[in-house]
Amino acid sequence: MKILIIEDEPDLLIGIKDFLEKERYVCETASNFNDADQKLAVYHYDVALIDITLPGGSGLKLIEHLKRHTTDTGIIIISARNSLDDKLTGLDLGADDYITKPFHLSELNARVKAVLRRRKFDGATSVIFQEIEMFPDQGTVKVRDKNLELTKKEFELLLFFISNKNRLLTRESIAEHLWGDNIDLADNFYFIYTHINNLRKKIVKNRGNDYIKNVYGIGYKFTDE
Amino acid sequence: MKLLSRLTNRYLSLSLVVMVFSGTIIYFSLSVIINRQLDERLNENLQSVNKQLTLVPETTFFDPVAHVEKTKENIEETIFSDTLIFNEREHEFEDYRQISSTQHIAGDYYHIVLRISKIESEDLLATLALVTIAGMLLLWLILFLVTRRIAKSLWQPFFTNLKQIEQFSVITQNEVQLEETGIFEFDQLNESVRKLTRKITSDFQNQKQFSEDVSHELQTPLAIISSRLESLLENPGLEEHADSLNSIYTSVRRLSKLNNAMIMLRKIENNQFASEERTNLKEVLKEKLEEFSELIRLKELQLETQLTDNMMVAISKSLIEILINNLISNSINHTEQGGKIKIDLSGRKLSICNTGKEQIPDPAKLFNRFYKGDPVSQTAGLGLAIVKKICDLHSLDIHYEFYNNLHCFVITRQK
Repeated sequence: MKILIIEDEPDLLIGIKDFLEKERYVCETASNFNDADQKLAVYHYDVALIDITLPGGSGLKLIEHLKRHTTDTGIIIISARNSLDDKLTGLDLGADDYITKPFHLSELNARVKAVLRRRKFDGATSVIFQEIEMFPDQGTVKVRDKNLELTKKEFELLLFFISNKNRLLTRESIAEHLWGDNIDLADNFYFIYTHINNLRKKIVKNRGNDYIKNVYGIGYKFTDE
Repeated sequence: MKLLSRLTNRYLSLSLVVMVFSGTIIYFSLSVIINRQLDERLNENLQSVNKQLTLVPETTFFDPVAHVEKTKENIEETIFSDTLIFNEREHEFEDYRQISSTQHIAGDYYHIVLRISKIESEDLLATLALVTIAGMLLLWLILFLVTRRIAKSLWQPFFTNLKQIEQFSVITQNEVQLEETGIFEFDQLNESVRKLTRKITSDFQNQKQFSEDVSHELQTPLAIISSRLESLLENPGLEEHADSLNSIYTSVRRLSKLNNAMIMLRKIENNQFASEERTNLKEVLKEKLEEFSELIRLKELQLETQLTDNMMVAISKSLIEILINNLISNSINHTEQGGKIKIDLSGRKLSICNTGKEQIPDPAKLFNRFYKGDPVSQTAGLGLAIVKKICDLHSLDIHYEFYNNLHCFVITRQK
């Protein structure tokens, strides 16, 4: 899978690139409008991450150009502006998703995977991790081929874990993934703790393994290592 | 007191004084003139009596108009005076002007007193006074009405401009549209107001631009710090620094959240959510309660809802979602485990209540930025400030109540 990362802030660009390369994506980068425009015209990418504010032009223009000759590239807008207008315009132009700075790399990763799932397999695919199989479109989970009943948030949590398997998920990134970044909950960590405990119990009860590991007070890791 | 009525009152009292003063002067000068005329007539009459007595010494004269008697000597000089004579028929005293004089006629001395009734001249004086007062009153009334009318049209542009100034708001950025009055003082005032509002607006804009720029400039470094920290945290072998890294990470995330909330406040202030949309509060409330239902269950809270009516508000859906999010998460945050959340929607009123033991010590501060009921809370303290801002800008009233151990936030749509 090939991803083009268009971002003018070098530090952030490297951070995103490193993270996604560990997920075994082939990553290319562009840090200004012209570079990005040329690369998008010449090569084919599975996903393009596009920053809206770029030296040399607007990221929204890039989406227009891209949509003119290819339609199967997934597009995720990255914006520092947190602006509703940009979001709506971007989605109107055909972007698949929208993420606002500052974001968690794990969140970006989950979004990239979701876009790929929708684009490449029309969503008709399952996400498999060992004995666990998730069907994001139907919202169902099977453990050892037996249905597992999960609440909505538990399902989102498990999908987030599997999308970021073997990686550290901080409690903050989990909270924002589950409840959005506009909700200021005082008991965040307690809620996450309870959700994770319930999820664990349900999986183990269905004869699955407990893959959720605590990582020294910072967060959790979903791993079979 | 209005300037106009104060002015009128001054006019009124001043003209009253002038009227009394000039009335008195007129009265006295007129009486002096009348007396002088009467005296002249009395003098003429005295000459006639003199003549008559010279011709016919024994002429009879009638009291009280003329009284003549012989005397031995010259008693007195000619004296004019006022006197009162009792009128038998009318049973009252009447005013007379009299001359008394001793005349030497044909060898004899006569003491002659002649009188003229002043009733006629007094009537004249009274009529004159009446006419004068009536004229003055009329003049005063006309003056009063004319001044009022003129003042009204003169002050009209002032009041129009005042209305404009009242409607001025730094947020809307509209310059005040002041009417030219053609009156020097008013135009001077207009000029000053224009300068002042321009200055306020530009200061406010600069201030706002600055804080917006700061927020936006902060976003990228914050994003870099937290993404770099996240990759760092993945490295094995950093266990001994876990605590420090964790606390750095938590603080950076708090900073990001705070910054996001500040940007949100600014966006609401800038009306960037403006839309023609009408949103059904009940629908949003249902959606949000569905989303929060797991949290409410996890905290073992009882949820009691009574969503009777649809309530339509002219606010974009995304803004209403923020409003409801903040209010419900605030309730969840501040309810003890096992407590109760009660939500009522009926008519134009939405109340979101949660159980709690004590009243908040300083409810007036509740909607202030960075106010925290619980000082150690990890939340930014901007949630309710955002709620208040949304309400203020969209004709919604919000207030806090405490009764029956319930903390309530009540939102009412203004008519």
